[in-house]
Amino acid sequence: MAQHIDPSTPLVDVAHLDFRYPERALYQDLSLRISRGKVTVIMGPSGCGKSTLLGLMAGRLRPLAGDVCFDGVALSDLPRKALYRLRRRMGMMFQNSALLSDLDVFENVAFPIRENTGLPESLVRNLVLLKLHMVGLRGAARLLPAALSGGMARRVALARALALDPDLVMYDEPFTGLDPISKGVIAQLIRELNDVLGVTSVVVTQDVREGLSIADHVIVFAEGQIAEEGSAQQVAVSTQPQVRQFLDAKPDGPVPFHYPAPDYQDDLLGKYQ
Amino acid sequence: MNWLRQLGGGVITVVQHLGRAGVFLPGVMAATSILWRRPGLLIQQLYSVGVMTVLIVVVAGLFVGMMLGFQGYYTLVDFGAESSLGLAVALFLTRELGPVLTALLFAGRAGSALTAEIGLMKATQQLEAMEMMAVDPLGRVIAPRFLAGCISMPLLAALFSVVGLAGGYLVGVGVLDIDGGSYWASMQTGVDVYDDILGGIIKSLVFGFVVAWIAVFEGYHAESSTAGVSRATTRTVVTAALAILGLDYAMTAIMFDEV
Repeated sequence: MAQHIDPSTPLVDVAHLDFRYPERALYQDLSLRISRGKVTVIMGPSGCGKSTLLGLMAGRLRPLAGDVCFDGVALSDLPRKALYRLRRRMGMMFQNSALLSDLDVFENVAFPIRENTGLPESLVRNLVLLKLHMVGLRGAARLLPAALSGGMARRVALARALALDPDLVMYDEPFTGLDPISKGVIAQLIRELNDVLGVTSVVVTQDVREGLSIADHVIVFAEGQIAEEGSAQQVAVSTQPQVRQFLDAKPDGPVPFHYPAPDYQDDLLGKYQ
Repeated sequence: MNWLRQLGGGVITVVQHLGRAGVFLPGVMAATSILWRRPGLLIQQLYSVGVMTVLIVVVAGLFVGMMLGFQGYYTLVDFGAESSLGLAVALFLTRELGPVLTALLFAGRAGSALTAEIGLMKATQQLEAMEMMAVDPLGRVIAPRFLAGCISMPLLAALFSVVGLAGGYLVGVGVLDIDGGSYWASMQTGVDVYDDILGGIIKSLVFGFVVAWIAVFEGYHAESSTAGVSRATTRTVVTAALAILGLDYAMTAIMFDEV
Protein backbone atom coordinates (compact mmCIF):
# COMPACT_ATOMS: atom_id res chain seq x y z
CA MET A 1 0.00 0.00 0.00
CA ALA A 2 2.53 2.60 1.12
CA GLN A 3 5.62 3.28 -0.96
CA HIS A 4 8.71 3.17 1.22
CA ILE A 5 11.78 5.26 0.74
CA ASP A 6 14.39 2.72 1.70
CA PRO A 7 13.50 -0.95 1.25
CA SER A 8 16.58 -2.02 3.18
CA THR A 9 15.26 -0.54 6.45
CA PRO A 10 13.27 -3.01 8.55
CA LEU A 11 9.49 -2.65 8.60
CA VAL A 12 9.41 -3.64 12.27
CA ASP A 13 12.30 -2.90 14.57
CA VAL A 14 12.21 -4.36 18.07
CA ALA A 15 14.90 -2.73 20.19
CA HIS A 16 16.04 -3.70 23.71
CA LEU A 17 12.60 -4.88 24.70
CA ASP A 18 11.73 -5.84 28.28
CA PHE A 19 8.37 -7.39 28.95
CA ARG A 20 6.90 -9.44 31.77
CA TYR A 21 3.57 -10.75 32.91
CA PRO A 22 2.78 -10.37 36.62
CA GLU A 23 3.64 -14.03 37.21
CA ARG A 24 6.78 -14.34 35.06
CA ALA A 25 9.37 -12.43 33.06
CA LEU A 26 9.24 -13.01 29.31
CA TYR A 27 11.78 -10.86 27.50
CA GLN A 28 14.87 -9.05 28.65
CA ASP A 29 16.73 -6.83 26.22
CA LEU A 30 15.23 -8.49 23.16
CA SER A 31 16.11 -7.01 19.78
CA LEU A 32 15.09 -8.19 16.34
CA ARG A 33 14.19 -6.82 12.92
CA ILE A 34 11.54 -7.80 10.43
CA SER A 35 12.68 -7.19 6.85
CA ARG A 36 10.30 -5.74 4.30
CA GLY A 37 8.73 -8.05 1.76
CA LYS A 38 9.99 -11.21 3.48
CA VAL A 39 8.31 -14.05 5.32
CA THR A 40 9.81 -14.14 8.81
CA VAL A 41 8.94 -17.26 10.78
CA ILE A 42 9.22 -17.12 14.56
CA MET A 43 9.36 -20.54 16.21
CA GLY A 44 9.78 -21.81 19.73
CA PRO A 45 8.19 -24.04 22.36
CA SER A 46 4.82 -23.28 23.95
CA GLY A 47 4.83 -20.43 26.43
CA CYS A 48 8.06 -18.85 25.18
CA GLY A 49 6.16 -15.67 24.28
CA LYS A 50 5.83 -15.86 20.50
CA SER A 51 2.22 -14.64 20.44
CA THR A 52 3.06 -11.98 23.03
CA LEU A 53 5.64 -10.66 20.60
CA LEU A 54 2.90 -10.19 18.00
CA GLY A 55 0.88 -8.28 20.61
CA LEU A 56 3.86 -6.02 21.18
CA MET A 57 4.42 -5.53 17.46
CA ALA A 58 0.78 -4.51 17.05
CA GLY A 59 0.98 -2.09 19.99
CA ARG A 60 -1.66 -4.05 21.93
CA LEU A 61 0.82 -4.66 24.74
CA ARG A 62 3.18 -2.07 26.13
CA PRO A 63 6.79 -3.04 26.92
CA LEU A 64 8.39 -2.22 30.28
CA ALA A 65 11.48 -0.95 28.51
CA GLY A 66 12.71 -0.66 24.96
CA ASP A 67 10.41 -0.09 22.03
CA VAL A 68 8.85 -1.48 18.88
CA CYS A 69 9.03 0.71 15.79
CA PHE A 70 6.70 0.13 12.87
CA ASP A 71 7.99 1.76 9.72
CA GLY A 72 10.05 4.13 11.85
CA VAL A 73 7.20 5.04 14.24
CA ALA A 74 7.67 4.06 17.90
CA LEU A 75 4.50 2.40 19.18
CA SER A 76 4.94 2.79 22.94
CA ASP A 77 3.94 6.40 23.34
CA LEU A 78 1.61 6.61 20.39
CA PRO A 79 -1.85 8.03 21.22
CA ARG A 80 -4.77 5.67 20.71
CA LYS A 81 -6.04 7.34 17.54
CA ALA A 82 -2.63 7.35 15.89
CA LEU A 83 -2.14 3.71 16.89
CA TYR A 84 -5.47 2.75 15.32
CA ARG A 85 -4.49 4.65 12.15
CA LEU A 86 -1.27 2.65 12.04
CA ARG A 87 -3.15 -0.61 12.55
CA ARG A 88 -4.92 -0.06 9.25
CA ARG A 89 -1.54 -0.95 7.77
CA MET A 90 -1.40 -4.21 9.74
CA GLY A 91 -3.41 -7.38 9.36
CA MET A 92 -3.57 -10.24 11.80
CA MET A 93 -4.74 -13.79 11.49
CA PHE A 94 -5.56 -15.24 14.90
CA GLN A 95 -4.94 -18.78 16.08
CA ASN A 96 -8.67 -19.52 16.42
CA SER A 97 -9.54 -17.32 13.42
CA ALA A 98 -11.53 -14.89 15.66
CA LEU A 99 -14.25 -14.46 13.04
CA LEU A 100 -17.23 -12.42 14.20
CA SER A 101 -19.68 -15.21 14.91
CA ASP A 102 -22.89 -13.31 14.08
CA LEU A 103 -21.67 -12.20 10.63
CA ASP A 104 -21.34 -14.41 7.56
CA VAL A 105 -18.09 -14.89 5.65
CA PHE A 106 -18.76 -11.96 3.30
CA GLU A 107 -19.60 -9.57 6.14
CA ASN A 108 -16.56 -10.69 8.14
CA VAL A 109 -14.23 -9.75 5.29
CA ALA A 110 -16.22 -6.57 4.60
CA PHE A 111 -16.07 -5.57 8.28
CA PRO A 112 -12.67 -3.79 8.32
CA ILE A 113 -13.41 -2.14 4.96
CA ARG A 114 -16.81 -0.82 6.06
CA GLU A 115 -15.51 0.32 9.44
CA ASN A 116 -12.42 2.10 8.16
CA THR A 117 -13.34 3.44 4.74
CA GLY A 118 -16.27 5.25 3.23
CA LEU A 119 -16.20 3.17 0.06
CA PRO A 120 -19.48 2.71 -1.83
CA GLU A 121 -21.23 -0.62 -1.41
CA SER A 122 -20.52 -1.81 -4.97
CA LEU A 123 -16.78 -1.33 -4.44
CA VAL A 124 -16.89 -3.02 -1.03
CA ARG A 125 -18.60 -5.99 -2.67
CA ASN A 126 -15.96 -6.25 -5.40
CA LEU A 127 -13.11 -5.93 -2.89
CA VAL A 128 -14.55 -8.63 -0.65
CA LEU A 129 -15.12 -10.99 -3.57
CA LEU A 130 -11.56 -10.34 -4.73
CA LYS A 131 -10.13 -11.21 -1.28
CA LEU A 132 -12.33 -14.28 -0.95
CA HIS A 133 -11.36 -15.43 -4.44
CA MET A 134 -7.68 -15.15 -3.48
CA VAL A 135 -8.21 -17.66 -0.68
CA GLY A 136 -10.55 -19.83 -2.76
CA LEU A 137 -13.71 -19.15 -0.76
CA ARG A 138 -15.78 -16.86 -2.97
CA GLY A 139 -18.39 -19.60 -3.12
CA ALA A 140 -18.64 -19.69 0.68
CA ALA A 141 -19.44 -15.98 1.01
CA ARG A 142 -22.85 -16.49 2.61
CA LEU A 143 -21.89 -19.20 5.09
CA LEU A 144 -21.78 -18.43 8.78
CA PRO A 145 -18.49 -19.08 10.66
CA ALA A 146 -20.11 -21.99 12.51
CA ALA A 147 -20.56 -23.80 9.18
CA LEU A 148 -16.86 -23.58 8.24
CA SER A 149 -14.16 -26.18 8.80
CA GLY A 150 -11.02 -25.11 10.71
CA GLY A 151 -9.05 -24.67 7.50
CA MET A 152 -11.80 -22.64 5.82
CA ALA A 153 -12.14 -20.40 8.88
CA ARG A 154 -8.39 -19.70 8.76
CA ARG A 155 -8.65 -18.81 5.09
CA VAL A 156 -11.51 -16.40 5.79
CA ALA A 157 -9.44 -14.89 8.60
CA LEU A 158 -6.58 -14.53 6.11
CA ALA A 159 -8.85 -12.79 3.59
CA ARG A 160 -10.03 -10.47 6.36
CA ALA A 161 -6.44 -9.76 7.45
CA LEU A 162 -5.69 -8.71 3.86
CA ALA A 163 -8.89 -6.69 3.43
CA LEU A 164 -7.27 -3.29 3.90
CA ASP A 165 -4.18 -4.20 1.83
CA PRO A 166 -1.82 -4.00 4.81
CA ASP A 167 1.95 -3.64 4.73
CA LEU A 168 2.42 -6.17 7.52
CA VAL A 169 0.47 -9.39 8.01
CA MET A 170 0.92 -11.27 11.28
CA TYR A 171 -0.05 -14.92 11.59
CA ASP A 172 -0.54 -16.35 15.07
CA GLU A 173 -0.16 -20.16 14.91
CA PRO A 174 -1.76 -20.46 11.45
CA PHE A 175 -1.25 -24.26 11.24
CA THR A 176 -2.38 -25.35 14.71
CA GLY A 177 -5.22 -27.86 14.72
CA LEU A 178 -5.41 -28.25 10.94
CA ASP A 179 -5.29 -31.42 8.85
CA PRO A 180 -2.26 -31.85 6.54
CA ILE A 181 -4.16 -30.66 3.44
CA SER A 182 -5.35 -27.47 5.15
CA LYS A 183 -1.84 -26.89 6.54
CA GLY A 184 -0.46 -27.12 3.03
CA VAL A 185 -3.11 -24.75 1.68
CA ILE A 186 -2.44 -22.14 4.38
CA ALA A 187 1.35 -22.43 3.95
CA GLN A 188 1.03 -21.98 0.19
CA LEU A 189 -1.32 -19.01 0.61
CA ILE A 190 1.01 -17.27 3.06
CA ARG A 191 3.94 -17.67 0.69
CA GLU A 192 2.10 -16.74 -2.49
CA LEU A 193 0.18 -13.79 -1.09
CA ASN A 194 3.39 -12.44 0.42
CA ASP A 195 5.11 -12.56 -2.97
CA VAL A 196 2.17 -11.46 -5.13
CA LEU A 197 0.96 -8.62 -2.90
CA GLY A 198 4.42 -7.56 -1.75
CA VAL A 199 3.46 -7.58 1.91
CA THR A 200 5.71 -8.36 4.87
CA SER A 201 4.71 -11.49 6.78
CA VAL A 202 5.47 -12.55 10.34
CA VAL A 203 4.45 -16.12 11.10
CA VAL A 204 4.48 -17.40 14.67
CA THR A 205 4.32 -21.18 14.69
CA GLN A 206 5.37 -24.42 16.35
CA ASP A 207 5.05 -26.40 13.13
CA VAL A 208 8.64 -26.91 12.07
CA ARG A 209 8.02 -28.42 8.62
CA GLU A 210 5.50 -25.83 7.41
CA GLY A 211 7.37 -22.99 9.08
CA LEU A 212 10.70 -23.81 7.45
CA SER A 213 9.07 -24.46 4.07
CA ILE A 214 7.77 -20.90 3.67
CA ALA A 215 10.41 -18.87 5.53
CA ASP A 216 12.83 -16.36 4.13
CA HIS A 217 14.12 -15.78 7.63
CA VAL A 218 13.69 -17.92 10.75
CA ILE A 219 13.99 -16.87 14.38
CA VAL A 220 13.95 -19.56 17.06
CA PHE A 221 13.11 -18.49 20.60
CA ALA A 222 14.14 -20.19 23.81
CA GLU A 223 13.72 -18.82 27.33
CA GLY A 224 12.81 -15.33 26.18
CA GLN A 225 15.89 -14.97 24.00
CA ILE A 226 16.73 -15.62 20.37
CA ALA A 227 18.47 -18.99 20.34
CA GLU A 228 19.07 -19.04 16.60
CA GLU A 229 18.25 -17.02 13.51
CA GLY A 230 19.00 -17.16 9.83
CA SER A 231 17.69 -18.75 6.68
CA ALA A 232 15.66 -21.96 6.90
CA GLN A 233 18.72 -23.95 5.76
CA GLN A 234 20.98 -22.36 8.37
CA VAL A 235 18.51 -22.96 11.19
CA ALA A 236 17.83 -26.54 10.08
CA VAL A 237 21.49 -27.48 10.66
CA SER A 238 21.88 -25.52 13.91
CA THR A 239 23.85 -27.27 16.65
CA GLN A 240 22.36 -25.21 19.49
CA PRO A 241 20.98 -27.77 22.01
CA GLN A 242 17.75 -25.82 22.57
CA VAL A 243 17.16 -25.45 18.83
CA ARG A 244 17.95 -29.12 18.17
CA GLN A 245 15.56 -30.27 20.88
CA PHE A 246 12.81 -28.16 19.34
CA LEU A 247 13.48 -29.06 15.69
CA ASP A 248 13.96 -32.79 16.42
CA ALA A 249 10.96 -32.90 18.80
CA LYS A 250 13.01 -34.50 21.63
CA PRO A 251 10.97 -34.95 24.83
CA ASP A 252 13.91 -34.19 27.13
CA GLY A 253 16.81 -31.78 26.89
CA PRO A 254 17.36 -28.14 27.81
CA VAL A 255 13.57 -28.00 28.17
CA PRO A 256 13.17 -30.76 30.79
CA PHE A 257 10.49 -33.44 30.61
CA HIS A 258 9.82 -33.16 34.34
CA TYR A 259 8.32 -30.08 35.90
CA PRO A 260 10.59 -29.00 38.81
CA ALA A 261 9.77 -31.21 41.78
CA PRO A 262 11.39 -32.29 45.07
CA ASP A 263 13.36 -35.54 45.28
CA TYR A 264 11.23 -38.46 44.03
CA GLN A 265 12.37 -40.95 46.70
CA ASP A 266 11.81 -38.46 49.52
CA ASP A 267 8.43 -37.61 48.07
CA LEU A 268 7.39 -41.29 48.01
CA LEU A 269 8.60 -41.66 51.61
CA GLY A 270 6.26 -38.85 52.56
CA LYS A 271 8.92 -36.35 53.65
CA TYR A 272 7.07 -33.43 52.06
CA GLN A 273 3.63 -34.14 53.45
CA MET B 1 -4.79 -14.20 61.55
CA ASN B 2 -5.50 -16.14 58.38
CA TRP B 3 -9.16 -15.12 58.35
CA LEU B 4 -8.14 -11.49 58.76
CA ARG B 5 -5.82 -11.79 55.77
CA GLN B 6 -8.57 -13.41 53.72
CA LEU B 7 -11.04 -10.71 54.75
CA GLY B 8 -8.55 -7.99 53.81
CA GLY B 9 -7.84 -9.71 50.48
CA GLY B 10 -11.56 -9.91 49.77
CA VAL B 11 -12.07 -6.22 50.54
CA ILE B 12 -9.13 -5.25 48.33
CA THR B 13 -10.55 -7.35 45.47
CA VAL B 14 -13.97 -5.68 45.78
CA VAL B 15 -12.44 -2.20 45.89
CA GLN B 16 -10.25 -2.98 42.86
CA HIS B 17 -13.31 -4.26 41.00
CA LEU B 18 -15.27 -1.10 41.84
CA GLY B 19 -12.32 1.03 40.78
CA ARG B 20 -12.06 -0.75 37.43
CA ALA B 21 -15.81 -0.39 36.89
CA GLY B 22 -15.54 3.32 37.71
CA VAL B 23 -12.72 3.85 35.24
CA PHE B 24 -14.54 1.77 32.61
CA LEU B 25 -17.76 3.84 32.69
CA PRO B 26 -16.45 7.19 31.34
CA GLY B 27 -14.82 5.33 28.45
CA VAL B 28 -18.13 3.69 27.56
CA MET B 29 -20.01 6.98 27.90
CA ALA B 30 -17.52 8.72 25.62
CA ALA B 31 -17.75 5.87 23.12
CA THR B 32 -21.54 6.30 22.81
CA SER B 33 -20.83 9.28 20.54
CA ILE B 34 -20.43 6.76 17.69
CA LEU B 35 -24.19 6.13 17.89
CA TRP B 36 -25.01 9.61 16.56
CA ARG B 37 -23.21 8.64 13.37
CA ARG B 38 -24.40 5.05 13.32
CA PRO B 39 -27.82 4.75 14.95
CA GLY B 40 -28.28 1.36 13.29
CA LEU B 41 -25.96 -0.19 15.88
CA LEU B 42 -28.24 1.04 18.67
CA ILE B 43 -31.45 -0.05 16.94
CA GLN B 44 -30.05 -3.55 16.50
CA GLN B 45 -29.29 -3.77 20.21
CA LEU B 46 -32.62 -2.22 21.23
CA TYR B 47 -34.16 -5.18 19.48
CA SER B 48 -32.04 -7.90 21.10
CA VAL B 49 -31.88 -6.27 24.55
CA GLY B 50 -35.32 -4.66 24.74
CA VAL B 51 -37.75 -6.30 22.34
CA MET B 52 -36.55 -9.81 23.17
CA THR B 53 -37.30 -9.13 26.85
CA VAL B 54 -40.87 -7.96 26.20
CA LEU B 55 -42.49 -11.41 26.43
CA ILE B 56 -41.06 -12.31 29.83
CA VAL B 57 -41.97 -8.85 31.17
CA VAL B 58 -45.54 -9.06 29.86
CA VAL B 59 -46.13 -12.55 31.28
CA ALA B 60 -44.55 -11.67 34.64
CA GLY B 61 -46.44 -8.34 34.78
CA LEU B 62 -49.74 -10.09 34.13
CA PHE B 63 -49.20 -12.67 36.88
CA VAL B 64 -47.97 -10.09 39.38
CA GLY B 65 -50.98 -7.85 38.63
CA MET B 66 -53.36 -10.77 39.08
CA MET B 67 -51.67 -11.73 42.34
CA LEU B 68 -51.97 -8.14 43.54
CA GLY B 69 -55.65 -8.22 42.60
CA PHE B 70 -56.28 -11.14 44.94
CA GLN B 71 -54.01 -9.96 47.76
CA GLY B 72 -55.30 -6.42 47.60
CA TYR B 73 -58.93 -7.47 47.53
CA TYR B 74 -58.73 -9.79 50.56
CA THR B 75 -56.85 -7.15 52.55
CA LEU B 76 -59.17 -4.27 51.61
CA VAL B 77 -62.44 -6.16 51.88
CA ASP B 78 -62.02 -6.45 55.67
CA PHE B 79 -62.19 -2.65 55.83
CA GLY B 80 -64.96 -2.39 53.25
CA ALA B 81 -62.53 -0.60 50.96
CA GLU B 82 -62.42 -3.09 48.08
CA SER B 83 -63.42 -0.30 45.69
CA SER B 84 -59.89 1.08 46.23
CA LEU B 85 -58.33 -2.04 44.71
CA GLY B 86 -57.30 -0.17 41.56
CA LEU B 87 -55.45 2.41 43.66
CA ALA B 88 -53.64 -0.25 45.71
CA VAL B 89 -52.56 -2.21 42.63
CA ALA B 90 -51.44 0.97 40.84
CA LEU B 91 -49.38 2.23 43.78
CA PHE B 92 -47.70 -1.12 44.29
CA LEU B 93 -46.84 -1.35 40.62
CA THR B 94 -45.75 2.19 39.82
CA ARG B 95 -43.80 2.83 43.01
CA GLU B 96 -42.12 -0.51 43.64
CA LEU B 97 -42.97 -3.71 41.87
CA GLY B 98 -42.89 -2.34 38.33
CA PRO B 99 -39.36 -0.93 38.42
CA VAL B 100 -37.89 -3.50 40.83
CA LEU B 101 -39.27 -6.72 39.35
CA THR B 102 -38.67 -5.54 35.79
CA ALA B 103 -35.08 -4.71 36.70
CA LEU B 104 -34.60 -8.15 38.28
CA LEU B 105 -36.08 -9.84 35.21
CA PHE B 106 -34.03 -7.56 32.97
CA ALA B 107 -30.83 -8.48 34.81
CA GLY B 108 -31.65 -12.18 34.52
CA ARG B 109 -32.67 -12.14 30.86
CA ALA B 110 -30.86 -9.27 29.12
CA GLY B 111 -28.02 -8.58 31.59
CA SER B 112 -26.79 -12.16 31.68
CA ALA B 113 -27.10 -12.44 27.88
CA LEU B 114 -25.06 -9.25 27.41
CA THR B 115 -22.31 -10.45 29.74
CA ALA B 116 -22.17 -13.90 28.14
CA GLU B 117 -22.13 -12.46 24.62
CA ILE B 118 -19.37 -9.93 25.33
CA GLY B 119 -17.41 -12.44 27.43
CA LEU B 120 -17.51 -15.03 24.65
CA MET B 121 -16.47 -12.43 22.11
CA LYS B 122 -13.50 -11.73 24.33
CA ALA B 123 -12.69 -15.40 24.93
CA THR B 124 -12.75 -16.12 21.19
CA GLN B 125 -10.50 -13.10 20.50
CA GLN B 126 -13.21 -11.29 18.52
CA LEU B 127 -12.67 -8.08 20.52
CA GLU B 128 -8.92 -8.38 20.01
CA ALA B 129 -9.50 -8.91 16.29
CA MET B 130 -11.57 -5.72 16.16
CA GLU B 131 -8.75 -3.78 17.80
CA MET B 132 -6.38 -5.19 15.20
CA MET B 133 -8.77 -4.02 12.47
CA ALA B 134 -8.53 -0.49 13.92
CA VAL B 135 -12.06 -0.74 15.31
CA ASP B 136 -12.62 0.29 18.92
CA PRO B 137 -14.67 -2.46 20.62
CA LEU B 138 -15.90 0.04 23.22
CA GLY B 139 -17.70 2.00 20.50
CA ARG B 140 -18.67 -0.88 18.20
CA VAL B 141 -19.72 -3.49 20.78
CA ILE B 142 -20.03 -2.06 24.29
CA ALA B 143 -21.59 1.40 23.82
CA PRO B 144 -24.65 0.28 21.78
CA ARG B 145 -25.40 -2.52 24.25
CA PHE B 146 -24.99 -0.21 27.25
CA LEU B 147 -27.24 2.50 25.82
CA ALA B 148 -29.83 -0.03 24.64
CA GLY B 149 -30.01 -1.33 28.22
CA CYS B 150 -30.43 2.19 29.62
CA ILE B 151 -33.25 2.98 27.15
CA SER B 152 -35.05 -0.38 27.27
CA MET B 153 -35.34 -0.74 31.02
CA PRO B 154 -37.71 2.21 31.75
CA LEU B 155 -39.90 1.27 28.79
CA LEU B 156 -40.09 -2.33 29.95
CA ALA B 157 -40.92 -1.18 33.50
CA ALA B 158 -43.75 0.95 32.13
CA LEU B 159 -45.01 -2.02 30.14
CA PHE B 160 -44.82 -4.22 33.24
CA SER B 161 -46.93 -1.75 35.23
CA VAL B 162 -49.54 -1.35 32.48
CA VAL B 163 -49.92 -5.11 32.00
CA GLY B 164 -49.97 -5.53 35.81
CA LEU B 165 -52.87 -3.04 36.06
CA ALA B 166 -54.72 -5.07 33.42
CA GLY B 167 -54.00 -8.24 35.43
CA GLY B 168 -55.38 -6.62 38.59
CA TYR B 169 -58.47 -5.56 36.62
CA LEU B 170 -59.00 -9.09 35.28
CA VAL B 171 -59.00 -10.55 38.80
CA GLY B 172 -60.71 -7.66 40.59
CA VAL B 173 -63.48 -7.04 38.10
CA GLY B 174 -63.62 -10.33 36.23
CA VAL B 175 -63.26 -12.79 39.13
CA LEU B 176 -63.99 -10.91 42.36
CA ASP B 177 -66.74 -8.82 40.86
CA ILE B 178 -65.82 -5.35 42.04
CA ASP B 179 -67.04 -2.39 40.03
CA GLY B 180 -64.92 -1.68 36.95
CA GLY B 181 -65.56 2.06 37.12
CA SER B 182 -64.35 2.35 40.71
CA TYR B 183 -61.23 0.31 39.85
CA TRP B 184 -60.10 3.00 37.41
CA ALA B 185 -61.62 5.97 39.29
CA SER B 186 -59.78 5.21 42.55
CA MET B 187 -56.58 4.99 40.55
CA GLN B 188 -57.24 8.31 38.83
CA THR B 189 -57.86 10.16 42.07
CA GLY B 190 -55.16 8.49 44.20
CA VAL B 191 -52.12 8.17 41.97
CA ASP B 192 -49.92 11.24 41.89
CA VAL B 193 -47.99 11.87 38.69
CA TYR B 194 -44.92 13.27 40.44
CA ASP B 195 -44.74 11.26 43.65
CA ASP B 196 -45.75 7.90 42.24
CA ILE B 197 -45.28 7.72 38.49
CA LEU B 198 -42.23 9.99 38.20
CA GLY B 199 -40.66 8.25 41.22
CA GLY B 200 -41.09 4.90 39.46
CA ILE B 201 -39.64 6.27 36.24
CA ILE B 202 -36.59 7.62 38.07
CA LYS B 203 -36.07 4.24 39.73
CA SER B 204 -36.33 2.36 36.46
CA LEU B 205 -33.88 4.77 34.79
CA VAL B 206 -31.36 4.23 37.59
CA PHE B 207 -31.85 0.45 37.54
CA GLY B 208 -31.45 0.35 33.76
CA PHE B 209 -28.22 2.33 33.96
CA VAL B 210 -26.79 0.16 36.75
CA VAL B 211 -27.79 -3.21 35.24
CA ALA B 212 -26.43 -2.26 31.80
CA TRP B 213 -23.21 -0.96 33.38
CA ILE B 214 -22.67 -4.11 35.43
CA ALA B 215 -23.51 -6.39 32.47
CA VAL B 216 -21.13 -4.79 29.95
CA PHE B 217 -18.38 -4.34 32.55
CA GLU B 218 -18.48 -7.97 33.66
CA GLY B 219 -18.51 -9.17 30.04
CA TYR B 220 -15.64 -6.93 28.98
CA HIS B 221 -13.52 -7.93 31.98
CA ALA B 222 -14.43 -11.62 31.99
CA GLU B 223 -11.58 -14.10 32.12
CA SER B 224 -10.98 -15.49 28.63
CA SER B 225 -12.18 -19.01 29.36
CA THR B 226 -15.43 -20.96 29.58
CA ALA B 227 -15.30 -20.90 33.36
CA GLY B 228 -14.44 -17.18 33.30
CA VAL B 229 -17.48 -16.32 31.18
CA SER B 230 -19.68 -18.48 33.38
CA ARG B 231 -18.41 -16.73 36.53
CA ALA B 232 -18.89 -13.30 34.96
CA THR B 233 -22.47 -14.12 33.98
CA THR B 234 -23.27 -15.28 37.50
CA ARG B 235 -21.64 -12.15 38.94
CA THR B 236 -23.79 -9.96 36.69
CA VAL B 237 -27.03 -11.48 37.92
CA VAL B 238 -26.03 -11.53 41.61
CA THR B 239 -24.42 -8.07 41.68
CA ALA B 240 -27.21 -6.50 39.66
CA ALA B 241 -29.92 -8.04 41.87
CA LEU B 242 -28.25 -6.81 45.06
CA ALA B 243 -27.60 -3.38 43.54
CA ILE B 244 -31.25 -3.09 42.46
CA LEU B 245 -32.59 -3.97 45.91
CA GLY B 246 -30.07 -1.76 47.72
CA LEU B 247 -30.67 1.21 45.45
CA ASP B 248 -34.42 0.69 45.67
CA TYR B 249 -34.27 1.00 49.42
CA ALA B 250 -32.05 4.09 49.22
CA MET B 251 -34.20 5.82 46.61
CA THR B 252 -37.44 4.96 48.40
CA ALA B 253 -36.05 6.42 51.62
CA ILE B 254 -34.99 9.61 49.82
CA MET B 255 -38.29 9.98 47.96
CA PHE B 256 -40.46 9.49 51.03
CA ASP B 257 -38.24 11.80 53.00
CA GLU B 258 -38.94 14.50 50.41
CA VAL B 259 -42.67 13.80 50.54
